[in-house]
Amino acid sequence: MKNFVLLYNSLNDTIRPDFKVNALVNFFKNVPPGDSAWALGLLLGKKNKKIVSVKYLMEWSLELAQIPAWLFNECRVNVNNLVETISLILPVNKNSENIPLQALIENHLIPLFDQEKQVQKEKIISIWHMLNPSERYICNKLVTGSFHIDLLPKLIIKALSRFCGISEPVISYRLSGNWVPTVDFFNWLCSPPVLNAPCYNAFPFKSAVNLNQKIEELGEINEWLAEWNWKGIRSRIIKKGNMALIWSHDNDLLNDTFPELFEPGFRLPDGIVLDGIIIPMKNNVLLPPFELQKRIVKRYPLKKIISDIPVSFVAFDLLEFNNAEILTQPLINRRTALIKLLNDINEPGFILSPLIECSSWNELKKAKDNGNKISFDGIILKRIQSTYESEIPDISQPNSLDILQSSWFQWKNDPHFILAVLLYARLEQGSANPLFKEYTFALWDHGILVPFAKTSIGLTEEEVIRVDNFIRNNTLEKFGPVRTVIPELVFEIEFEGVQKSVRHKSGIIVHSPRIIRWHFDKKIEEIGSLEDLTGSQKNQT
Amino acid sequence: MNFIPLVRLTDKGLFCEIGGFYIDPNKSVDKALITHAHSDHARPGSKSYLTVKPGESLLKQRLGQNINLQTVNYSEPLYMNGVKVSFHPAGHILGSSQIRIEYYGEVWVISGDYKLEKDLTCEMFEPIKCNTFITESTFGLPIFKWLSQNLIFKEINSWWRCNKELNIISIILGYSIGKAQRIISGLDSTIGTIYAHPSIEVINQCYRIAGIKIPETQIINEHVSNDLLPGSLIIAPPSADIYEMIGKHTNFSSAFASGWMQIRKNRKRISFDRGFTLSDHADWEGLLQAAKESQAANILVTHGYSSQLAKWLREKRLNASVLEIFPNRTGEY
Repeated sequence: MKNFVLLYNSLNDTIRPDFKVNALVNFFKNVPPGDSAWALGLLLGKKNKKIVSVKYLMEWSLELAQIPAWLFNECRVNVNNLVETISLILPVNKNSENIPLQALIENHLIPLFDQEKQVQKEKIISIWHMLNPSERYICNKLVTGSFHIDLLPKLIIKALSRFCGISEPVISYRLSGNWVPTVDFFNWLCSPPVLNAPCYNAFPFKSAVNLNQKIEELGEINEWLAEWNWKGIRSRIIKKGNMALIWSHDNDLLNDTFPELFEPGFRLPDGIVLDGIIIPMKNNVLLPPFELQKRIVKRYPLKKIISDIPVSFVAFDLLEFNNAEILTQPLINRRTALIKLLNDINEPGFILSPLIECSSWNELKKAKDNGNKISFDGIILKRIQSTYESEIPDISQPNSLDILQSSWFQWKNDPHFILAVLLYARLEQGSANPLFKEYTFALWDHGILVPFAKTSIGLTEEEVIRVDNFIRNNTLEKFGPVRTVIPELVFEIEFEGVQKSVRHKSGIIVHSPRIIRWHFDKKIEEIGSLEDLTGSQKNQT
Repeated sequence: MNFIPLVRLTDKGLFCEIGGFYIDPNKSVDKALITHAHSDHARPGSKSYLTVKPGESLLKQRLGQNINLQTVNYSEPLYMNGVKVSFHPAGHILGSSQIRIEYYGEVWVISGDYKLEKDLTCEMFEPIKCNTFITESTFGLPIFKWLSQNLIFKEINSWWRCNKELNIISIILGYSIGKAQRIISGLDSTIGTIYAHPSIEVINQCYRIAGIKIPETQIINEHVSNDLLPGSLIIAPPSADIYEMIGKHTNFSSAFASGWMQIRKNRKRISFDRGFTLSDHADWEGLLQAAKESQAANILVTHGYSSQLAKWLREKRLNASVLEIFPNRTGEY
């Protein structure tokens, strides 16, 4: 228990992902497998069932601490958390015992389910006597079924992989589905794979190249299929033997994250690999893509989040059919097979990526400009006759791959431009001679400068040094690694889209901002205003 | 009998009119009795100061070498206009005192800041019987109950050890007078080199001169920052610029040591990698114990959760009320 509390505090105190991973690895090294198994379940967000409601804990703790209700309320106001207040007001036990997490849960807490209140009270008070305040806090969270931690599942998988030397995809795969936290489970989780289970992505995801030339240079429009460039999570759904797997393009196994896709995935016929995008959609209405964030922070999302933000899978390619790889077949054939498959299975969560039917490039451009900018980032063009092979251009040999020979292009929404002033700069991390190169830019808002975009992309090395020099000599305030500078340097910023955001001071968030150029000649009076952006947002919707 | 209280609150701070002196005045006065050297208790500008011998070097460090300072030993009585005054250990920092004032058999004790737990860097708190006890209440709520300092030191040392294994510099932040030296006294110097910020190193010297044993520390400044060994530990005040101290090194883990770290929302609010609950103030149980051991008929509660502690003591049938000395005070010293 002491190790788990140390882990919990370390994870909560720091924001650095590498420190979180270190803390996890240390934990796995120092506790028996039974504790690791239970910790995994809790950290991954497996539902822990409520034993006693917090109302009773409060009653018992007041009795034990012998303090009146008014004083408890004063404490609660200061702590701002009921379970924590309860844990802190109890008398301190100077020699708390080190009960292993597994023993606490299996021997002390689980037997309390469905017991008489009086028995629960006696047992819980005796457990309190064995623990120190921060251990009690965790224990009370478990008792009330409210244990929660903000921790990306990816970090846990990374730590496990580092702890036992098994690759992340294998760990991720083994953690999927229903498992019970036991010593055997944890030992199996960390054991070397016996056979090469077909649980990995066999071939790389094919990606689209940015369209940098005139659209007409692509040739005849009837050699191409045009689809919307959906914003979402690029993923594959694989059905093999008795397994269904949802892999994201960066190797996250999403089976538990998206049960509404896993279930129909499991019903697929054997030997299928689908390629597509997971998008948020409710009752056939698209939800804003950023809502997906709420779905992926937990490996086991809450039912409420699932029902608030359900997802669908927009399938655009079929790579394996009837256990046979068909990726060398032309796109048009794969699409025909895909359409037939989706018709046959008739799963409402699996949608065919629609084609944008146009007879000329001009018409397509109009379609793109009038498209839904919130859900789509422009259009993807795919050569009808192309096979599914990854085409990563070899940069060292510019002519190794004629860009026009690429078979997938993304034709993105037109970027936006605005003039902005440098307001904050942050020292880069992990360099021997750190420079200030993470910039925050501001715009006018009724006579005040409001930060709206953060980027470190776009300046040449020489410019970075000159800006760094300016920052060091024109600092107004320091906050740790961040400096506020005299607002003087004006830059042209390019970005791809604007969205409303309640979490940002400016009330908006801009996508993929980057610096286009440094305008020496421009004055701070000439920069843009927030209204310019919110106006452009209105035009879009 | 006189109807004026022996000590009363004025706009310059606590004032003993008969004795003609102030205790920890917040403005310039003729005679200032100082409980300890923290800046909210010891302020510059008074004509003469009185404090205990062990606190001399700290007070001069803070207020200047040329202040007009008289010192006494702990428990050694002095008379001022017939008022008997003596200083007694408060256990807060080196040279911290409770001030005992006696006049015609009536005894008042002004606690200053104090803690009851044994701490190797200062004299241990001594309970004193009195009629009126003026107590602080920085942590006067029952949510503040400290674990023993040995457990906290163990936590700090294991954090340092883990960082060292990963070649990460450990930076621990705490107030430069008292808190820093107490932390250093608990560090396991076999783990690595301990560096101290210049503002802490001068105080370390005061402690060493006073005969307090604390592990060896190296001063950190721009000349050494680039030669720092990975895995060493730096102790600095919260106001220090971390990036200036560590020079080219950017891989570090920072921690903050304070009683406020007891509450999770405070730990979240600070932008450090770890929080350690270590305070030089009495916790709830300590405040109650001190009040009880003073056997005082009247208890006046000052800065902190004064109204809550006073109300609780009244419910325990003690004559307690609030005495607001530092209405604008924030933070913990």
